[in-house]
Amino acid sequence: MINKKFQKNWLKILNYNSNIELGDKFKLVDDKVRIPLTPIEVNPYLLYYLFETLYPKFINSQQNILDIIISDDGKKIIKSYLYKTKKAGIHESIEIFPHDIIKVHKKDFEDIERFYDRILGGLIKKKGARVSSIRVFKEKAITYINQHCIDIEDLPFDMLLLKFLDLIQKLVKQDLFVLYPEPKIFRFLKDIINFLNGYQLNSLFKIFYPLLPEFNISIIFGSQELIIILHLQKIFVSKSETPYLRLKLMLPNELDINLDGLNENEIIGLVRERLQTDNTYFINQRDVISLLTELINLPVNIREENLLLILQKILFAYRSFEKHWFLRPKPIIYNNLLRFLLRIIGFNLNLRKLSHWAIPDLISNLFESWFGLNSKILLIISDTEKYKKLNLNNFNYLEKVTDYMLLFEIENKTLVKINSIAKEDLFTNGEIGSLESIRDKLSEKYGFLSSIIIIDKLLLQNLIKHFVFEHSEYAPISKIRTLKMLKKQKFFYIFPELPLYKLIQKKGTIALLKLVLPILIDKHEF
Amino acid sequence: MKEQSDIKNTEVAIVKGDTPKETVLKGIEILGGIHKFIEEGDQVFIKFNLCLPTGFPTNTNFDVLESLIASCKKAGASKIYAGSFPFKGISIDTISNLLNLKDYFSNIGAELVFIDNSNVFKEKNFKKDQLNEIKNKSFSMVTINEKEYLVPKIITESDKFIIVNQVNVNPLFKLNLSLLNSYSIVSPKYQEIGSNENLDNDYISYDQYKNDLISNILDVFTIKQPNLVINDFFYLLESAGPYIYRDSNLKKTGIAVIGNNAVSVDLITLKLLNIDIQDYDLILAANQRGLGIIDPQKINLLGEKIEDNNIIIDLCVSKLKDINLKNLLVNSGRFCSGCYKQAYHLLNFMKTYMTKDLKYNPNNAFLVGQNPLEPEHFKNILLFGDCAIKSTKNSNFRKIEKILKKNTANQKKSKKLKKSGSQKKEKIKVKTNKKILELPGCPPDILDCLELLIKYYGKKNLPNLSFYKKILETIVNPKEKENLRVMGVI
Repeated sequence: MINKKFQKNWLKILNYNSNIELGDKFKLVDDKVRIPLTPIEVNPYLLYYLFETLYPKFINSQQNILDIIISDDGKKIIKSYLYKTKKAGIHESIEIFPHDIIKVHKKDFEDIERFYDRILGGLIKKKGARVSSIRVFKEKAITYINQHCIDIEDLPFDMLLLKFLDLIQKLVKQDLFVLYPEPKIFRFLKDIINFLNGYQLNSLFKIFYPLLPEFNISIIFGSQELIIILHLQKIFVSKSETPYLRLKLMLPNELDINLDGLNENEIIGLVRERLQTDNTYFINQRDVISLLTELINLPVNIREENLLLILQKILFAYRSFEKHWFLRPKPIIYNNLLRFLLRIIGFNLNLRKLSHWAIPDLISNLFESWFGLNSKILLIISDTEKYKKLNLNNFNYLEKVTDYMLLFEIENKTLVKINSIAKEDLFTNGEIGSLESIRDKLSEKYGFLSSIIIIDKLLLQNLIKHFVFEHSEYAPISKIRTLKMLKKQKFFYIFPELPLYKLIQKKGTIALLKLVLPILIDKHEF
Repeated sequence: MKEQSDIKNTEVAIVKGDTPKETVLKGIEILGGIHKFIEEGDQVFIKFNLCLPTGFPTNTNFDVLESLIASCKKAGASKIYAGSFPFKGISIDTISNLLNLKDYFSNIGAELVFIDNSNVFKEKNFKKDQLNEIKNKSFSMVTINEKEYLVPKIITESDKFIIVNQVNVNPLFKLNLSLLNSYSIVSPKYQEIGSNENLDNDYISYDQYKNDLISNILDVFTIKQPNLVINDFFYLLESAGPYIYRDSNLKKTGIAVIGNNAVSVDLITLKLLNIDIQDYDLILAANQRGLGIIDPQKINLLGEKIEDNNIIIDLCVSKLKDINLKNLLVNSGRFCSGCYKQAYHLLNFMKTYMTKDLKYNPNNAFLVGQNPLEPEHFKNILLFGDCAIKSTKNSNFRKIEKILKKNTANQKKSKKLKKSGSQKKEKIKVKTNKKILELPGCPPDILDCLELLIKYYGKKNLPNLSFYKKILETIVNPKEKENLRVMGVI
């Protein structure tokens, strides 16, 4: 029933897991297994460790799981499998579960709690066993999973992600898969899909992915138990027209690195040398898990204050260089002499004193003041690079260059809805004339449109490249050049022209930086 | 010019809906439809909240305005104007440019009226007498109770007058209701209340500022009484308002109150929001002047019932110290409502926009009113208002004592010889405390206060305020301010 390759790989995982006894430390084998539903091959122990660490945190912390496959109409059970687990999440044996123990009613899929109780009762009575969670799949879910698994081995990671997001959206949207007790991560995923209001997850990825520059980085996730290395690249593979995303997960000994007695910086140095990456980061697994946990605990209709809290935490982590994270090559921006020289000419650029509390405050104040507590904002992502000659005197050029249009609805500082606006709905007769007419048209359908923000792909690409990927590089010219793009209507425009936008237009980039930097960077520690 | 509303036939509708637009339209229908208020060929003036070039709910909900304008058009109005005087020092032209309102109103079939003539004087450099001529053409002077008010002719000459009021909390009157809204048909200059120059104790005891203000509001209200009044609190700004501050919260009630008499509409709004009318002086005074009735029994109530809609909201803090700013202690003496209102806005501004500045400059004491409690061991003392400045002229904090230790023997010699036991004498020197910032005015002007704060602390020590000041400079243009002054607007 299930895809053969998937099944084979799954049984291999179970086999490996069953050979590990509680208390076993590090059991490396020469073999490789694939992470289920992906082509990523890893050492079985790495997968074991990931399940051991992540499953209890994000899915369920109790033992034994029952998988049930039911017919699409929900009337009968087709197959059920019992996984007895010594440790939560470590699937090690599979047992076909007799049908007569469970009787299925049509409404079980809707009232999963009662269904679970009945299963639990039957199981205790007839087998003397308990299950901590059930996973119910409709037959169609298996069909989708099988379709997903076809030829995924040769897919680049970006294509795989597209397929994977599509699979998740189908499973959730069509109610093909239920987990009980429902983990927060699953609820979060469901909420995101419902929140997107029919907009595809993979469409969001399609917007975001081209904005990323080419990169070749590795991230070391450190912990006392096991260090994991992630190698991530976006590169052009021979003769390809588009860059591919590649992802590898490995253990240090796969790179012939013996960790004994090495500190973080030495580990980074060795990993960078072996993988030949541009940058290598070292982050603690604990910190990543804690951030993810907080993220999934948030409601998807995210309130501004929650968002700012998360931003505050990220900024705090960012300023904790060589405390919470490490990077090699060590950025020159942390050089004291350079900082001293910059300070002499009026720039206090100490990233270790990034004002993690004042930046979210500034963003929130500017946003609330100018857009209000209730607002509807249209974001237009344009691609002016496609057209060399554009007449910027009127906004008719938008019809040609608009790539994506998203309408954000905010109610009492909470993002409540995102609507995707089709190009043909807005540019029907070819003439736009003014942005007011766009506002007028959309206000009819969605209510008063507070603002239209037009941002060009090139500007986004540059911002991501110079301020995210090269965040701590000392490259003033490219960074200032990117900021200067904010002053050009072709790359960035806010309608109506809010005071902040006017200030950006009016003030020189360096003067603006001098004005804003004292807010972004703390004068002294508190 | 004065029109007396027909208070005997007061009708008020309480409406609930899914959207603000739908709610207001439903309310008008319940009252008998728009034709009851607007006749074919009428010139209509819609007075709405136009305070600052910021987002909702500082100004009226534009969805509500749009549906109302569409209704007026449907009823056959020949011309629909919309307008209001904004916050002191900001021109309508600036707000219109920043929110693109002129085009917006034109697209929905109305005209935004630049009642301060800011659209005229931005085009050309006018001489003073030319500006005066424009002023005389567009305004008329109305005298009520021996007080003069400069009123835009377009309002007095309109056949129908509608108030669309966004209900937000207000530090002085608890809520911004339609009576208060109608006050901004006269310019900020004519909204100002005379100051307490002689520091008269009675001025504060009897809260003369508030009494004068109420009297003026009601005077202005009688100039042109509205035919239709809408109190929109589908969304209501609570906790801190009526502008958006850090502590502000938007409450969704889904309700609007609509009627043909402003006093009654305000009264029912207060009832719905559980505010005792005895606490709302403006309504009581309006009733005394015969501008409306305060007995709900005498109002023809339509739509929802009051008792079915019990809405609890958080009002503005009643004590300034409850605004609760970090590194700033607030000591209040006896103050009038004028200083309270301005101090409330300044403190909320500081809390919202100056967090880093307050962190960089610890130990501040903010003294307001007559004879405030003396602060002890504070680095910076801010004296807000003429009362605080004058009444603390002889306070202890004005002087600082410095203890000087002086050697009787020659200091240099003693250092060289390291003689022990050289006699020391303590000397106390009294100096003027220079760490005091006076924010004058009765009551002080917020924008002037911000300027003085920057001067006192220095730009480097106020990164937040220096940044926001640059933003404010894009809104407040000195030349425009001068023109507004000549025009009699500020």
